[in-house]
Amino acid sequence: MTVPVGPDGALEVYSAVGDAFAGRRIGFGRRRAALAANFARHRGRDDAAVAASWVAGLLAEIGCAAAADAPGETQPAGPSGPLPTDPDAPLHGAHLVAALPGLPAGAADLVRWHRERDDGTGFPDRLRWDGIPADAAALGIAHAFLELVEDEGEPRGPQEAVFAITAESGRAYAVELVRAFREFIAAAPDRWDAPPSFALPALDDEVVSTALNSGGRQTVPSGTSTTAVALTPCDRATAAADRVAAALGPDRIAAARAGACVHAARAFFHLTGAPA
Amino acid sequence: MIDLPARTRRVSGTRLLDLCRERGIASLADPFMGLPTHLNVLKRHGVAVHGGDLLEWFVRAGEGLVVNDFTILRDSEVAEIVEMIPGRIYPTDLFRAWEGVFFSEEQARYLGVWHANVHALRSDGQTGVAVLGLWHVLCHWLLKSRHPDEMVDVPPSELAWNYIRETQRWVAGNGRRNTVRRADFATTLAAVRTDAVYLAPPGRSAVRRVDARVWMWEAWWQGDPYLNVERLYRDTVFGGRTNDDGSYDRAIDEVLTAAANAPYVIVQSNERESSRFERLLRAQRPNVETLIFAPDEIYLIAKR
Repeated sequence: MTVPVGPDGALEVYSAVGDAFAGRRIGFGRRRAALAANFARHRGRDDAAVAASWVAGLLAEIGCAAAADAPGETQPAGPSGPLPTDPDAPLHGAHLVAALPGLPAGAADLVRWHRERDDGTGFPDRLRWDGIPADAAALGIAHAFLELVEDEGEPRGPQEAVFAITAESGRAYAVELVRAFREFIAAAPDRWDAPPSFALPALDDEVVSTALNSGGRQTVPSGTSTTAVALTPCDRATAAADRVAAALGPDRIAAARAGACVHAARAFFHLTGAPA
Repeated sequence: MIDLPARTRRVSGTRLLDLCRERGIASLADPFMGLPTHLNVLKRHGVAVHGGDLLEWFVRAGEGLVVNDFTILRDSEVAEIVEMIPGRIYPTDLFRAWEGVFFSEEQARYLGVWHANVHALRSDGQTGVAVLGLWHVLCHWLLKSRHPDEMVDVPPSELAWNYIRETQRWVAGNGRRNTVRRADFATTLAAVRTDAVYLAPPGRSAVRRVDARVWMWEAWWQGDPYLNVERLYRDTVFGGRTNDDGSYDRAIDEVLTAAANAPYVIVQSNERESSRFERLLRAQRPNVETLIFAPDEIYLIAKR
C-alpha cells in the first residue's frame, strides 16, 4: 500500500512521525528545519549545507520512532526540557535518514550528532569541542531554542529562550555558535522560522529517477588499483546530483548541484508515491 | 592565556559500532585510546573492548568507563570528592605554580583538594569516574578564561558535582571482559586477541602538540604542575626526535605489524593522510576498503 503524498510532502510526513514519537506538537520538526536552515544561511554556509540542515531539522527526532521499543538507559529531564528516553534515538534517526534515498549528503550525520554537547557530555557519542560538526551543533541549538519557545508548560519568548541558550554557552553549546545564534535571532526577530528558500533548478523527474536508481557502489582510483567504496544513500544522491547536473549541461551545473539533492528527494517521493 | 587548539579528532563510538556490526565484529582493541568515550559507547552496545594509552589519566578514566560495570558514587562520596573534608590537611598549594597563570587562587586550591580526595577513593572504578568528571571542570575553567563574559559563573564544587554525576551515568555493563592498560601499543595488542584493532594513530610530532586540557590533567593526576608529557613518549616509536616521513612510516608499520593477528584493522584518517595509511596497510593486507564519511572522517578497513 502506498500513501499518496505531494512532491515535497513525504519528508514532512516523516517529520510529523518524529514529532509524535518525541511527544511534541505536530509541526515542531518543520519549524526546527526552517530555523536550522535559516541559521545555517546566516552563518554563511553553502546551499548544500543549508539543504542538509533543513532535512536534518525535519527528521532530527525520527529516531524516537525506532527508539520507542528499543531498550536503553533512561534520561532525566534536561535543563531545557524532556530528552528522548533512549540516548540512541539520534543514532536510530541517522540510520533511518541514511536509508532514505536522495537526501543531502551529511544530513544523516547531523541527525546523529545534533544532541552532542560542547563539553562532551551529550549523546550518543559524547563528542566534544570541534569534534562535533558545526552544522550538527547548530541544529542542536535550533532544537533547544524551539523546545523552549514551544514548551507547553512554560513557553518562553525568543529573547528569553536566547538567554537560556546563552546560559549554556561553553557547556552545551560552543561559545562561537551561541554568539552567532544571538546575532541571528537579533537580526531576524520575527523571521527566524520563515520557510527557507532553496535555489532549486527545474529538473526532469525522469532524469532524476534514472540517476537515483543507478548503482550503489562506486570504484575510486587508489594508487595503482581501484577500491570499491560502499556508498550511503546520501553519497548516491550526491553522485546522482552530479549526473543530473552533467545531463543538464555545463551552464547549469552549479545551480543544479546546489539544489539537486533536495530536488532529487522530492522527485523521488513524487515518482514513487513514497512512503512505500 | 592558554591556547586551546581547534583540532579535536572526531572519534565516534556509534560510527565504529556501525562498522563493527556490518562486519560481525564482536571485540575491538584500541591501543591509542585517548579518552575512551568511544569504547564506552561500544561497550554499552555489547562489544568487548580493550584499550591502552601511555597517559595515566586516560587509563584511569577507562577504568571508570570501560572496565567498571557496577561501581557507583553515592551522594556522600561525591560530596567527599568535591569539597574539603573537615579535619583533613590538604596540599592546597600543590598547584600554586598554575595560580595566576591559568587559574585563579580558588581554582588552584580546589585542584589540590580534588587531587587529594580522588587519590583517597576506594576503588579504581570510582576513581575513574571522578577523574573524568573533574576533568570537565578543568576544561570549563580553561574555556571560561578565554570567554569570561560569555560563560556563566558556577561555583567549583557545584560544577564538579554536576560533572561527576553526569559521568557516573555513563557506567554500564555488557557482560563481557573489558580491559584498559597503561602500556604502549605493542603490549596492548599482545595482551588481547580481538576481532578488530582500531587505530587512530598519533600524528607526526603529535607529542609536541598535545592539547593543554590533556597534559594539564595528567600533570594534575601526577600532582606535578611542571610535568612534561613528552618524556612519556620518548622511548616509543612515535617519540623520535626526527620528523621525517620515513620514521613516521616505520612507526605506523610497527603498529600494523603488532596488529597482524586481528582479522580486521580499522584505521581512522583524514583526506590529507589517508593515502599514506592506505599504502602502509596494503603492504600488509591487500584487501582494503575505504569509507569516506567526511573529509576529516575517513576509515580504511583492512581484512586479513
